[in-house]
Amino acid sequence: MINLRVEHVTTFLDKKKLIDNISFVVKKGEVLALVGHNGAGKSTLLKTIMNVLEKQSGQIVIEETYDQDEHLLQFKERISYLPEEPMLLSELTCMQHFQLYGMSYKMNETTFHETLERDVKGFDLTEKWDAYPEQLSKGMRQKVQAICALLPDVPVLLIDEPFMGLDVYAKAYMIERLEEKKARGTSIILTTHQLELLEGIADKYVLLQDGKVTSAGPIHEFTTIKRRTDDD
Amino acid sequence: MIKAYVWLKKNRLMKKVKLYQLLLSLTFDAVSLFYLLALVGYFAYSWIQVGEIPPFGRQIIDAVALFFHDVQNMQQVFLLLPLVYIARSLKHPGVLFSSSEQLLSLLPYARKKLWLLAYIERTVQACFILALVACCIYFLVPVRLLPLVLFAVGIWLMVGLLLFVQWKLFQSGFLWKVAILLVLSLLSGVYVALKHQAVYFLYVTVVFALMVYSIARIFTHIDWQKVVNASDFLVWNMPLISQATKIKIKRDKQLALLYRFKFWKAEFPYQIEHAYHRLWVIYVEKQIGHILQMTLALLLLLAVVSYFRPFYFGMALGLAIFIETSFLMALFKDRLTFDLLSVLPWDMKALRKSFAFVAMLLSFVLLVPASVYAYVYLKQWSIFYLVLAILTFIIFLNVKLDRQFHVWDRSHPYAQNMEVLAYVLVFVVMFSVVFQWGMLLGYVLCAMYFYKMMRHRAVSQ
Repeated sequence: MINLRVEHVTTFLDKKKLIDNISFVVKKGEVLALVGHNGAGKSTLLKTIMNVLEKQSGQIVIEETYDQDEHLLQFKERISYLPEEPMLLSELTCMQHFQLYGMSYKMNETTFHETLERDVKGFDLTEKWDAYPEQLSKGMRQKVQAICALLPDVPVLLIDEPFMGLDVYAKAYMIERLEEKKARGTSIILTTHQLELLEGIADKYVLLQDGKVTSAGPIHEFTTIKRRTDDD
Repeated sequence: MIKAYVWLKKNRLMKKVKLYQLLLSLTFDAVSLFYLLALVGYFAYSWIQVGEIPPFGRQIIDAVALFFHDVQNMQQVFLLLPLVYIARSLKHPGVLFSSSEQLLSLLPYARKKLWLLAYIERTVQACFILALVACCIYFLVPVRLLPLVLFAVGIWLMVGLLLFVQWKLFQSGFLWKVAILLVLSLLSGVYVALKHQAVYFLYVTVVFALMVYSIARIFTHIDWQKVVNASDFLVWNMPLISQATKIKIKRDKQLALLYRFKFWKAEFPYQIEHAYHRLWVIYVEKQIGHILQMTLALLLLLAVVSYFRPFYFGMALGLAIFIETSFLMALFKDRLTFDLLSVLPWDMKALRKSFAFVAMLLSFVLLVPASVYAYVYLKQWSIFYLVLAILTFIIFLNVKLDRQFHVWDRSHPYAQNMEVLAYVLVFVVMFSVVFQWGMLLGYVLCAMYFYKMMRHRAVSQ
């Protein structure tokens, strides 16, 4: 079963084409690694899928039913996003953020508390529950955002640089959670520069360059990203 | 180090001058600037030619002369000065240490020495301003030189010492600052009322103790980032430039006192409505400037235009309903498509409920002029008219919400004829001040809308 279908998606920002006619599908329980240089369009593509950036053309559909244009509300209920830079509200405490996520994704209260307790322990965030994001270090904020995004069980999970700012234990826990989500059938799309951490998790890759797909395939076929200055 | 510091200041000044020059060139062209200068020159020349000080200026000169005549007046300035500097410590560190100075401190320049330079700069600045003011007073007001010089030097020394207090208190918590300010205000108030020297002595002792404490611990427990953030804002916040470019430099956000209370930090009851209510409170707090501007504009529209004729009142109220609902919808869309909320799923039912509450709260004040004029123009019918206006507001807002929900989700029910009905209702509000039978039509339309809504609810359940 296909969990996410991205078809001929093109995105402009200030008249500049950032994403150019990109298409791919991610099946249930599949992990797709978006790779490419800085500025290749990886984060832009994730933001387009999340509808944070409006696409110019193309179609994005979850579970072959929920079209981003036609059913945005149901679409959003089925997708969770971990941005590269935490998007936390400076006026809500960590716990209030967790609750906002849990309630927005209509998580059962008991499940919410159980999952939260485990994630908070896993990411070593105890005793920071009533702190505001400004009172936390950057790494801690990243952990809070990671917990928020991992809380709901949704068909599609988008992660922009999942290991950015995380310490070694948090990285290990993040990998554990991703594997668990994958086993439960969540389709994960992630961007990362630390490809070695994805060995054993990612199933396939899409290589982007200047907003275009230059190659795609199973992850074992992926060798390395060429330097921009190298000849073709 | 001094060379690098002066170089930094020079470049900062140049940058500011360039910005103001750009603003000047964008605001005035050469011809209008010439005429403006000629006009100012003409007035200055005529004033010098006549040689007389205008009555208002004469009053000021007399008041200043009287001030220097009595030593007690000068004493009161010294009493007031610490209060001013303590109050300033709420937002101003006293000595500016911006991110540029911080950058210099990363190079091989000691932070403490850089701070000292910034402090010297401030005191030299104060000396220059005081000297300028003293010169103006000496040449314009009949006062003796010695007391004037002593007074200016006294103030300068006091400012120099109070800068330490301001710097140190800037680091303290809000409650500490307020408590010290209250104690000193109380003491100075008691002294002014009773003129008792013991109170004055006590006041001076407290201020002196604060000065000694601040100087002794000038670099202890300093949150430099807090100073840098505040200084950056104070250095680069140029109101004229902000006004022209519409780019506002924001002060580094300090959470309000409310956010420190336990009940505010407590978990939400596990229902999304509670979270949405909080999010609206936060949003309204952030947008309060725009909200007040719009409310004031609509209040003016209702109060001024309605004054002339009943027909104008109807037009103004209809227009106010249209503008207010459009404004509220803009807020609604902005809230959902910005920051964290843009990536979260939305519970439309809960959002509608919480937003309706906020919308009613924000628009309630418009009822005040509307009620007054409705009573003046419609007497016994005024209550029916006001209820109709409120229902029209609710229906109009609901229709606009439905349309927006439909844009986001095509399966959300939306009937275009209901939008037409809402527009007709606004026209009914506009004209039924003059043609009162129109109210009946208005109530029929409202009944139709609510019937349709209830039927839809029954079907969807």
